[in-house]
Amino acid sequence: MTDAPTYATPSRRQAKEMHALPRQHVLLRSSLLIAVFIAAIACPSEALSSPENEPASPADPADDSPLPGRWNLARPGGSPTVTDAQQQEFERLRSIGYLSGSVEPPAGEGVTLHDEAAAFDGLNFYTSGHMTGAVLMDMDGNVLHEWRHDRHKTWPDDKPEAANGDEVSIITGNPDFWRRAHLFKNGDVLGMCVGLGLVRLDSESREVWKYSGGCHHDLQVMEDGTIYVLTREPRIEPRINRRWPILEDSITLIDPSGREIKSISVLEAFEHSRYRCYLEMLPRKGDVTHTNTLEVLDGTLASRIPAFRKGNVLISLLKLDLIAVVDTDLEEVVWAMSGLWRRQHEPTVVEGEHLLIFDNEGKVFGGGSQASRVIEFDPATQEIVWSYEGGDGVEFYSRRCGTAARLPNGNTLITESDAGRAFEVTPGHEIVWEFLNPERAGENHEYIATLFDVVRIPPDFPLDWLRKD
Amino acid sequence: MKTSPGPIRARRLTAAALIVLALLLLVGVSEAGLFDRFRKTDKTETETETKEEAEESYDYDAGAETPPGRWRTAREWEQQKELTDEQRDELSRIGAIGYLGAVNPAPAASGVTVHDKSRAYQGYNFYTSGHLPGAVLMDMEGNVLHEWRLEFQDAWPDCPEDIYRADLEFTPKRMRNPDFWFRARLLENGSVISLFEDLGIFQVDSRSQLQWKLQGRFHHDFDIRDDGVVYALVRRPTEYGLFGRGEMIYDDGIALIGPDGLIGITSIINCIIDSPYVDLLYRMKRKGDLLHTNTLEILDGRLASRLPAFKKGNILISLRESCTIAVIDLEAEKVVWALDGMWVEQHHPTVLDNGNIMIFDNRGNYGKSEILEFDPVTQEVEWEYKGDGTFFSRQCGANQRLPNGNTLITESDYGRAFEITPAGDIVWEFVNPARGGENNELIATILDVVRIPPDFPLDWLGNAE
Repeated sequence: MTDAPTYATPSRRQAKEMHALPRQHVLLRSSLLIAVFIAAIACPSEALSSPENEPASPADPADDSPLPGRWNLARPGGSPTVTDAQQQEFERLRSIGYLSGSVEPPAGEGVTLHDEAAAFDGLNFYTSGHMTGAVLMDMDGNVLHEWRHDRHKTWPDDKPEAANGDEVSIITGNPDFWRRAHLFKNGDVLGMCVGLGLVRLDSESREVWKYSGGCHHDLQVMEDGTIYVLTREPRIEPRINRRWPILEDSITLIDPSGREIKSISVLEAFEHSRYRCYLEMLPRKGDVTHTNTLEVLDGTLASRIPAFRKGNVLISLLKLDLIAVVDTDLEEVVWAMSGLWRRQHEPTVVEGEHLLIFDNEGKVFGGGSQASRVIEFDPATQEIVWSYEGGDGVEFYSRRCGTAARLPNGNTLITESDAGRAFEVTPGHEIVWEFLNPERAGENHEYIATLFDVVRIPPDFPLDWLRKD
Repeated sequence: MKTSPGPIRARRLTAAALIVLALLLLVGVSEAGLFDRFRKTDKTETETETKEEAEESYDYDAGAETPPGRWRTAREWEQQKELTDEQRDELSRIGAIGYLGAVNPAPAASGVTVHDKSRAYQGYNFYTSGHLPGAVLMDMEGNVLHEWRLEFQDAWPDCPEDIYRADLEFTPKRMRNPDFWFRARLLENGSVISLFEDLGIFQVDSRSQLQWKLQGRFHHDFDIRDDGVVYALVRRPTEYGLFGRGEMIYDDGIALIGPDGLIGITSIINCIIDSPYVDLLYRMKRKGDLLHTNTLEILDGRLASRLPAFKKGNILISLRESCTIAVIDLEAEKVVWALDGMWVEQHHPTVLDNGNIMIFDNRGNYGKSEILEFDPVTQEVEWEYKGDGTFFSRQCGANQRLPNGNTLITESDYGRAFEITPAGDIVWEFVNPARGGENNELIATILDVVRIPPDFPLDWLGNAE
């Protein structure tokens, strides 16, 4: 991955032509392959590990992206849902002149919408597919601070492992971005390099400490400084597969100085529990659970569902379309639910009584249905009490990743990761703030960098470290 | 395909066409058009399942040659099968000595084998058995008070044998059976509603005289609404075009049957597709009997204050293949609640007076069976029965909470039913006296024993003989 190509990016059509010419452009082809690998690394690796009863996935736009980091075709003008014929028609309509506004104009970049009265005021902290680092930005899109990390300096020996050509070896390749980050009050950040570990940088981007381990997807820093992070380890687990390694996910606790406290195997937590039946439904190879979210519970739901007691951990298992609560003392699963979503991300407790979840593909039934939604539901009764499903001609879809968070004023901040877009909606579904990742690439700027997670930092967050700059 | 089909092929085609026609007569007439919301056209079941798959999903360890009905190797014979070679040798050595003439297991006790009168809930037992095209009413001591009986051929004299025998390559043998009543319910006037699996549903009076019948692929379970309308599970083969491959599958429907016959059928697959629970379909296999709905209970609304999905009139079902239980709102034609994870290939979820759900978990106890009682709001397990490690029914199974707090469990495959106290003490046990096979090594399945309360009107009993 260190030799990521730096030359000019071909357009999609050119790339296709090049595919048709074997033996030529070997370097380009290998770089395309690398890009495919990258696409497989950070989020659902569907293309590599679809359970056999999955419908064929639609071509992943990111597969064409020959860039380091993580990119997708930008939506306006290049949306993967627009066919060539449709595109021609768009061009034709545009050329008519009087109808120029009937199609969505090429979207702006950065903050494209900001209703100051209705949006929750604060700052935005995010990680993006174009950089190993994080950004702090105000509500109008001005970058206040950036942290940049040279992961090759932190982990000089990093290279993709070669192991039997199994999916696992691909996943342990490590991409050029931070999948997730946390901002400390003193201006330090904790960044996650998928497959490598965590690094804490100070406000000047100097390394404070590192934790080496197969970190992935999600982390949470507690008040006392304890870090909860998802980790994974390829190993042979004969009860699942005698021959090929699987990725075993764990919930790992790390102390404030970067030392591991303990690790709870997600597979074992299921095996020891009443919910062991789900193990029968796991894929038998590779990234069997694909745990993609972790939230340490605050106990607000415990009066209605005792399993949600303070300190237990809510996780999301993409491969089973399942969310579950792990009791960290018993090290077993004490609650689980599925059915209302598919390939979900980021379940989170809101308002002390509901869960909010980014439902990537559960909105409608049928192959190729490209629609996501965010739902708020009551985990006791399964009633959906609120949802955002796009609409009014606004496309809303992220096949991978995606987050949703409830803000103190009742609005919801949603990150539509693949589209490189984040937006804030009111309970009445009005968009009051929108941000489009300004990081574009490709000859025609047709690629947009993935936005993993935009976090709204409250207005009273200490920023004295910033003023020292 | 156009290259000169030989005479054999032609004959086969003719035979196939005849079968198709016959099936259309049997199945199509009663059901076609009622699933009109289906996305794809109908086909007959000829293409639905390979024999291999049929055998896989209906594995059965009794020998190929079993008596008509539904049987399996009795427990005592099976235990002997598990002996090591050494133990067997020792047994035959002892046998050769003379004083132990047979190495076959001693016949197990049959009928009522345990009855603790002070602790068992006193009433009557109404059951159906794999050996009997009928139902039995039995007292607590095992005395048969009454038997209903109706052969399939007497109910449907015009149905050709090659249909009701269903010895067809593409239909698993156990999916269709004319030799016993699969499920039965006793009405207060002595009438009984019952069904022949995959063939038809009917009602007989206390003298076993047919009162009404409805042909169709009714299966597994039905329930009766307060006003007498019957809700029954019915299956239909259809082409599943939703994943773009067009495999043949069975959809299950909920049929409503009133005094004037069939009122309508609601497709369970459509209820899933039109609901927020579409993910259930993604997690199912995509061919054959993908739902395998095995329970239907009309909800009385007692849970609705805590769980609005359980409002009066909604239907609780159990989908075996995806290990899911779900609630369907029949008016909205939507799934409104679903739960899985705590059981494997479960049967008979039922809402209890205390608002909990009790369920027969066939394989979730590390491959063995267990009974769970859990709170559907919190998922907390409040009571369970696992037995001594041998409690097991691979298929079927039923459970009933009795007014005194005991639980009546039917361990169907082993032909056994027993009543336990909350602490798990067995206070009543019944082993099916119906045996078969050369050495009586087979025992007939008990589909379901229902305890009838002692104040149930039995005045019709005197007139019935």
